[in-house]
Amino acid sequence: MHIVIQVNVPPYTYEDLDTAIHLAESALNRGHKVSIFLFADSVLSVNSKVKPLRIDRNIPHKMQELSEKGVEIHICGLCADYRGISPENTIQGPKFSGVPEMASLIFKADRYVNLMP
Amino acid sequence: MALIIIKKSPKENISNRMIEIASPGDIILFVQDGVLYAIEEKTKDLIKNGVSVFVLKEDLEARGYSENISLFPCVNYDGWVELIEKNEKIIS
Amino acid sequence: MKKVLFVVYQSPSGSIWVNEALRCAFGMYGEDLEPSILFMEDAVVAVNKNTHPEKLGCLSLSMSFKYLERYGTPIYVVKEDLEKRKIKEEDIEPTWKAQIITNDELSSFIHSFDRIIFF
Repeated sequence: MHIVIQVNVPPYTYEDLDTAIHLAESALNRGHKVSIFLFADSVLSVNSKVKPLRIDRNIPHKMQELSEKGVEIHICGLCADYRGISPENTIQGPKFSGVPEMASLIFKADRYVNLMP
Repeated sequence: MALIIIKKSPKENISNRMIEIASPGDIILFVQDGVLYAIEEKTKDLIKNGVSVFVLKEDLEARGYSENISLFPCVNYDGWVELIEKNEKIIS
Repeated sequence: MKKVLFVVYQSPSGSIWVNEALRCAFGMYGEDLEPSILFMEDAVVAVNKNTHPEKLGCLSLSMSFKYLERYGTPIYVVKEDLEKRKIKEEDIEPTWKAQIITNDELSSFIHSFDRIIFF
């Protein structure tokens, strides 16, 4: 099954990115294809310059690990422009997408889980 | 039949409105601060007959509550994915 | 064809979600999708003709609504939420042809869509 998880709020401030990462891992383990769509402030979670305390989790790093495990990560391009996120300061893996890709996922995926802001 | 995922605290009116949206056959899953519904006795009055309710165990425990205090059955992340598998319509 | 509903519940002056929902709805037409918008809770102030986020220096709503005019995207507002916020029918901006539904109709209305995304 193809499951999409959309996130809308910033990492570290809220739990949503952590929720999305755990949910994506479980879905992968159950054999599903997983896509994460990062909308609005959630695009900050793929910033490679993020530098948390060493005892804290590194969310961009976790996102890259998910990407390496086959999770397709989409970033809303306009949201990224608004927040200074560009391919130069982004972890490896995410695709700069937009609402057309969101529409395509909404149409084609088997399940669409939105974590509302 | 729909899966309604409620992630906001009971103090947020939108959470109550989402509970109201549930109709018989639907499933409500409380996650994040939504799990606080699981320890409020009055939640039972809000839930319509025929609506099943689950609580994300990880989020409940992270907020200091154990599974046995929850008014509704708990699921872990795998259980959440199972609910997603079973419900094409997701309200969240 | 799939029917998609974007539900917004936060105020358009003070958060971006009304604009984002309108932008998303507009973007759905590239696929075989039929989008609609529902305003509830504080988001209902978006249909008040006197609501102007641009007074705060923010993006205006009319710009976002304009996207949708071309397609005639249906916009729904919940009656009880309008009443609670003292918005009368004559206060509603006529251009966007907002349709009023009651709270009693909300559950079956929302269930009539294939995908439901809250903002």
